[in-house]
Amino acid sequence: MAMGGGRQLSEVAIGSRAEVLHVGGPTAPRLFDFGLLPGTAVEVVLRAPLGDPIVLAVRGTQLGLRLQDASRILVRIVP
Amino acid sequence: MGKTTLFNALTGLTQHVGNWPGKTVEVGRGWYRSPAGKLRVVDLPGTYSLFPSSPEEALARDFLLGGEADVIVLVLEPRSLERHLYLALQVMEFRRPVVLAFNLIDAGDCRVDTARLEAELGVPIVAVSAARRQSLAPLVQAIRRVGEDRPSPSAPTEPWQDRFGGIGREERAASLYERARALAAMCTAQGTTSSARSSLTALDRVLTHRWLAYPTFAGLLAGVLWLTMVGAVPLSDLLDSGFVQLAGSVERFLSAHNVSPWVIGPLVDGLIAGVGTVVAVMLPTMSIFFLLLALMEESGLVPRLALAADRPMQRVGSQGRHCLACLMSLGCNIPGVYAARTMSGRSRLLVLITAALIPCNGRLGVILPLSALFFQRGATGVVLGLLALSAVAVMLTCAILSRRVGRQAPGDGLLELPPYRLPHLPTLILRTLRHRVLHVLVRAAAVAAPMMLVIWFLGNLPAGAPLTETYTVRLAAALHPPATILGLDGQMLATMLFSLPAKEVALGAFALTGGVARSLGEAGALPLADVLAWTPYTALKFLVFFTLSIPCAYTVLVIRKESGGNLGLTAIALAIPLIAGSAATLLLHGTGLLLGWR
Repeated sequence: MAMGGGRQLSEVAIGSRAEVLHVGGPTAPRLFDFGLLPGTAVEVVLRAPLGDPIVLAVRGTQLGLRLQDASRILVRIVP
Repeated sequence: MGKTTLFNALTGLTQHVGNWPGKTVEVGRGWYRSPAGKLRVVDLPGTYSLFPSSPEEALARDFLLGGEADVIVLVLEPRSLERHLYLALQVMEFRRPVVLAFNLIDAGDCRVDTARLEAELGVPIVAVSAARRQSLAPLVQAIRRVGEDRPSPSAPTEPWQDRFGGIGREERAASLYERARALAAMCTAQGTTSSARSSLTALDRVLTHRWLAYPTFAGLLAGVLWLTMVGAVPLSDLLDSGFVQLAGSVERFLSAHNVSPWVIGPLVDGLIAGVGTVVAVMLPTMSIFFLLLALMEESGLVPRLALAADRPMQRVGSQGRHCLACLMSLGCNIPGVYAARTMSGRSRLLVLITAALIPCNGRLGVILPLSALFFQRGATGVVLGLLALSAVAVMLTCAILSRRVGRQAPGDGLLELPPYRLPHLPTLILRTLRHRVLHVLVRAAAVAAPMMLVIWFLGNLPAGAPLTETYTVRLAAALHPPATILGLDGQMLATMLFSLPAKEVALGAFALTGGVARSLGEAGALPLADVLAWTPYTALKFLVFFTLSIPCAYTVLVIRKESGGNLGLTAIALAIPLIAGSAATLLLHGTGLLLGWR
């Protein structure tokens, strides 16, 4: 489900860094408050024991986020 | 130093915690006193933004924007400076009088040019570092200065509700974060703000490991429970002997003054012995349990547990933070119910409904000695089995109800994972003992007290009746027929009723409902083994019923209050444990009938 060359954040491997392109879904307003906005740099830090949620590093904070919500965030991998 | 540490340092011992009028959210209030005059200080719940996602955050927003505060102090954490500046900029947009307190303790090697930041923002920024009052002088000066410059109350304040409509939230957040990022980059020496690569610790690797995580958390929890139970015994004994002595002196004093035995009895053997039991059991267990839990919370372990628990709880329609509420409930159902304040939507209701399914320290204080008495070496297995039963009951209840309780959105499972850190112990101890232990205990004892008097009179009336013909024994006899349906007996059900004031009373109540003692004071002297002639199978049936079925009266009152007086929800929260306990006991009883257990 690539859109404008973006990948779903839920598909991004642990340890990767990415730039946010679009934030959608019902949690989007809350994510904006955490500073997860187009252009923001994020890193996928780890996964919970059962693989869901994932943990992001964003603006100096670590944030647990469900895969379902992460799939509504489109990113561009930053090498 | 965080928000509450600062609050504690400012207010010292003058603070008190209470419900905000009309809201089910607790707020700390206190005074800062100095020769220059008093300042009233309010500790609001933490919030990420002015768009609330829980009752607590809504209260913080209403207070920040409602104009009740003369000066708003926002604590800036250097590690996530951008995010904290985002909130500060939001508040400043509304032209509220603001002072920023810059937290130096958690700064690490992050250097921030506060003078520059102050010049850019145009509001005072004060560095605060230690919990010593002297170091707070500059902060207090800044607060007074801002308070004096504040426009007079007659100046019209903009109606803030108007500003939340219309404009896109994304655009607003984007422009504020852009400003926050620019400010942070300008004022941070090493550019440590958002580019800092997150440090993944060995602890994180274990706590998110596919196979190691859950056993580690289970072990940790078992350790907390074990320490609580073992550590509380000597303290409980000490308190208990204190109450026995108190009862003795009161009795001697009153007898010497020819006070009627119908006053001495209820007062000494009913009230003092009853409330004494509650306090002697609850005070040490709750203190130890909640101190250990607070250590886990403050150090950052608990958010990791919520992360690990999110997936299983998501499957049944709730969220990881529900698991934390369950953990609180294990110490005492009431803080477990309070935990719903930090949640929104469906999870909030599920927390209110399932809290009473968790055996609190009061119930564990009955379960443990009974298990030890009837199962000796198997006792640990029985207790763990009962805890597992309770967990299954919570999950099942969530799974069944999550689609039925209202049309509220499920919780979003968003969770901040703060860095691991060593908690500031004095603050932690003070806060835990005050807010989680004493606050609950005093009210619980007050609710229990009148019921203790009723129990005394039931055991001593009709006047002059022999031990086997008191109202208590008659009550047990009347309850016997319905009890046998579940494979229990009348004594057990009557004991369940008598433990309504506080679950720990059950141990003493057996002697009353069994017709071998008239009052809790008398019962205290009788060894349990002489009172109960059960087989292990009978004991197990009682334990299953007792673990799940009836919360204490105060828990029910608190559920009603926290649900905003919703009687329907309170009734559900009361019915679910009763149904779950009855069903589990019936299942055990049916199996026993088929297999011929005795």
